[in-house]
Amino acid sequence: MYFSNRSRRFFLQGLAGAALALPFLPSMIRTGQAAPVTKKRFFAITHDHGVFEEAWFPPNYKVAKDYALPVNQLPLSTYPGDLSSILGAGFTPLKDKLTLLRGLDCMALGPQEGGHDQGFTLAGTSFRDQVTSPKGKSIDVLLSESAHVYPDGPPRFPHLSVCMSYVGHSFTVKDGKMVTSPAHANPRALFDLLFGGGVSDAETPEQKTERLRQGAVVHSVFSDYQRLQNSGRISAADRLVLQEHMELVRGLERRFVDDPNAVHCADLSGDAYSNYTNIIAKDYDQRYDQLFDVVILATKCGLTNVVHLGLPTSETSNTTDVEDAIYRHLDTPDLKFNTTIHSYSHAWQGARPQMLRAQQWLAGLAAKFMAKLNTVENSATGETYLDNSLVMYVNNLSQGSSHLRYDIPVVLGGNLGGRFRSGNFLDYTTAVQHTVENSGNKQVGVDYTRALVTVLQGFGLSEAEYQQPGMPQGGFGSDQRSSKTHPSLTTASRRDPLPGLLT
Amino acid sequence: MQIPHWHALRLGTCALLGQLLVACVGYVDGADASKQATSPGGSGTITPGVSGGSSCGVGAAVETVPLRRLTNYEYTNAIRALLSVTTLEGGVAVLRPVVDMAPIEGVMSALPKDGPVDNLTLFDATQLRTDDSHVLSHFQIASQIANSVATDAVAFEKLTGQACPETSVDKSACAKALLSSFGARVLRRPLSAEEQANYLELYRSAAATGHAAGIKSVVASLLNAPSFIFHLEDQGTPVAGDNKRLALSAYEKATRLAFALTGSLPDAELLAKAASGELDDLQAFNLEVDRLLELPATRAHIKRFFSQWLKIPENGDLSALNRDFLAGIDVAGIVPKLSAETHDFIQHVVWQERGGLEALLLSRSAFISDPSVAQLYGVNAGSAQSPQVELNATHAGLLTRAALLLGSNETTSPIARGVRVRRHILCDVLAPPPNINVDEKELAPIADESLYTTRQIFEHRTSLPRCQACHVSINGLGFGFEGYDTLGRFRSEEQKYDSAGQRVRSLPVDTRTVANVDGASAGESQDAVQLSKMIAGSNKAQSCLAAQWIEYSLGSQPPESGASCLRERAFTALTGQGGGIVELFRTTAREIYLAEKAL
Repeated sequence: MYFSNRSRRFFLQGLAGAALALPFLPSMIRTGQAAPVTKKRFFAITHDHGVFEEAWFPPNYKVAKDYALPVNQLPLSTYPGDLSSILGAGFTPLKDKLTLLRGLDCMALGPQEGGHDQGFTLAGTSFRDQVTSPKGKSIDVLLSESAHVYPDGPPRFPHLSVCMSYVGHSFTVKDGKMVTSPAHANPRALFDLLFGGGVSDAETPEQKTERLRQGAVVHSVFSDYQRLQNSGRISAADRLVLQEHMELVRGLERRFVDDPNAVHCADLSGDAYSNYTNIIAKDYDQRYDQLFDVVILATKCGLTNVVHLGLPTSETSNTTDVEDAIYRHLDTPDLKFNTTIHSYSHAWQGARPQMLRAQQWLAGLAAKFMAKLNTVENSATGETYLDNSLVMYVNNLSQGSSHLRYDIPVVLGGNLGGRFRSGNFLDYTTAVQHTVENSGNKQVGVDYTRALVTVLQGFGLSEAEYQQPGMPQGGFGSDQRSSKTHPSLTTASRRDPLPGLLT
Repeated sequence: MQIPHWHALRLGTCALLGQLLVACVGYVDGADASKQATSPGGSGTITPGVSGGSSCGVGAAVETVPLRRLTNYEYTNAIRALLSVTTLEGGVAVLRPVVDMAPIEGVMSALPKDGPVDNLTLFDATQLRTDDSHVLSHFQIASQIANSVATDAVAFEKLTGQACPETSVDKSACAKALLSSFGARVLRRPLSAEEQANYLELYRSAAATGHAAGIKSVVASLLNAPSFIFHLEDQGTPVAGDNKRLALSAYEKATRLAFALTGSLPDAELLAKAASGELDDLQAFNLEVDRLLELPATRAHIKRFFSQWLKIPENGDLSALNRDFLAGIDVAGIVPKLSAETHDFIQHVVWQERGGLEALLLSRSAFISDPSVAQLYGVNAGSAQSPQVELNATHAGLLTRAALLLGSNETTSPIARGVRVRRHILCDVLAPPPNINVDEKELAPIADESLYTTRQIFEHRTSLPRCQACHVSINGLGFGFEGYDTLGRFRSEEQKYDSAGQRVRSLPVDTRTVANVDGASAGESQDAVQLSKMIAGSNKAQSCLAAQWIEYSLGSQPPESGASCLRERAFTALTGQGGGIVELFRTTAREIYLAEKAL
């Protein structure tokens, strides 16, 4: 058995003051002042298996050179109707707050290497190859550890990962290996974890009795574990296993006590969140809806500024029963999802109806999240939470059937309080020759890693703060293959931010 | 489990071939140190007869199994068993839930998923992670159950054997009855006096606001106790006065036995035998093993072993396959049928024939009543009442069953097939693959792949010496199965299609191979039947099956110190005279009688 890579301290910090609510009573939440406006929020929305490019990017677009930069741009607001059949109606009202990127190529891996390697998406290096590739944290994790994002010190939850898939795209490094960040999938559990400690001043005597009763139950269990620690019939190794579990129970117990650090947040008022389900509902739209609400509430209340949202994928046989169920909920009488989305992605055009439907659903989720974030944060300026955030919606592949990684589809939302330009379609394809010669595995293009570097620099991180351990040349992301597959790639260009994005 | 997608064919480098499927740098002399059955004094494969001269004489014991929590599968089985009672219906004992399970099942469905964290682990128990969401889920489930039990007087009486009406004067007697009945089932043993006192104190404290609150608290606390959540063994007694070695208590033996064979709690009969002291008698213990082996729950648990070991697909959609390739076979819903056919075959070999690995890998018995399945195998279907048929001589045993040969397109993946045999059947380690880039100057790409068989294409792609470092151990095994297409049909020719799906030619397949099954033999096999015979005849495969079962039934590989004896005995049970797969199950279960824990 092994435990997730969160430290004991992380759990104790994270769970301190939270309170389990069974049943959860929204009126128990103590309300308070809204968190101050912050302009350091980052949301990474990731998914896999590629997109149909012709259905993803705006059709028949004409880009114009602007900015006097080596990038072509098209103001999205001038584009009529929906952006594309995949980036559909959900994105349409947000056009002036979006940035579409085209022509970025993954050079951390060869164009087809590594199958579904989730490592490069946010970490710029291979997760699959833990032998020769440099190991690195993903940008969301790096940001969550940065004083640029948390100048007043880390909050209770510096980083959240919400992911219904077994394999996410958020990585930290533990014991010399890249490991996925622990993820949450249950809206109820996530809500309890984040806000359970908020005990209302208006708690009724009955509510308090019930809370304390539950606390006593948890305490009795904790006492069981404590007693076992003193047992002479437990091996040292077993004692350690029990100790780690005991700490988790201890964290749970703290949810029931009157914690002076309980969450104070105006957005918690009311009973809008009384309907979170304990159960992993079959209605996955509803479930994502709730997860998004909880995540956004956490950021509004200042509990976190960095979130990874992993949209459902399926990549190994371990994941299929979960993801099958998720995609099967897209079934219509005329269109059935009978196998894994992974298998469909390899059929590609052979499974175009299913893949297109899936891609539209996934994009719709991303749009929904951004729309939920697009509510006014600063009434004086009219700035929304989305304005003061950066959302990065990115796919692991450009084409699923052969694991192509050139022309990685990226959508940015928000402008991080003015640090990023928004409202444009930035096409790097025509600025720099963009070709992939599959036969020779030669690749020439604009390194996708530069998008990650741009995000990091946009948040104010210097290269010294994000450089990849084990990379002799420094910088972020791997260029292990530059000598053979990417003859045009230079370390310098890999380390440059993309033109046209930062203000 | 779904049909694997053999997509490696489209890829351009040998490294990718390995990476997509498992990983590969090379294998360690054909042996997996963690699974290889070893002789007591060395690291070689066990051979029959070795045990006679080993240190594993009578009395050597199964030693400590690392502590782990219950898997979700075990946990949910346990919850369902706890909330059910046996009733006689038409003279037949039937287990029926005593509470409405729907809300409980709903909360249980929110348990964070278990499962191997990588492709290198087969069984869900081997790598378990635990974080706050597990603890929270356990509490939520326990609270839901506590509410049900505390507010349903009928259910309470069925679970505890004691009525507890509102008019009861001494409600604490209800709590005591709960602890002595339900509590003992939860903890798989009677509660100690200290535990009883603690739970009664919890009851009294909560019952200040009502009896139901007290019962809720006790039930919820019991269901979160470490003795329920974990495979905790802390009740043993020192062996020969050595405080560092504990012999398992009768209840612990019963529990280990029940989870090993049924994946759930000890049933009432087993617990009763633990309570009466019967299990302290070796003969009685062995009889109990035999009783458990016949239970439907055991059969289901063992069926699950084969599913996980062999990754038998349970569903999948083959409708996207080329119509010409399908040749009129109706593949709608065929994957579950093929899965069932494979499981029927396994069940027949294991339980009816009482066969061993040889029978599993060589028998041509099949149970086919579905016309499409029969068409795949090229035989006439049996009837629903009498489905047993004999497959053609082109097939032999498990490795040539369609369910294990399926792919989601028309092109086979000999690499994936080879990896499956190498890892699952032979227990070889295939280390993670390096990312090898192959320049076209070094290895020219094939301009028109329709001119070559899949084997030829893969031979070319993996021909560089640095690719062969791994693929020498994989390709040969996979090429042997090129006589079957991705529907599992026997073939002597491979159909080649252009990008538009038009058949352009047929090419003869070559199934001759030197598979290097056990690292010593370099014998050539002509086809999959001969290859299966070589595998079946190898001690390595026998050792591997024994090791895989031990890992599945115990939930982990026990440390080497005691494992070698267990593996050696398991190997002997599987291969010795009168041995077989059931004997493997029986012997490893009987070993629990001798189990000790080392502190």
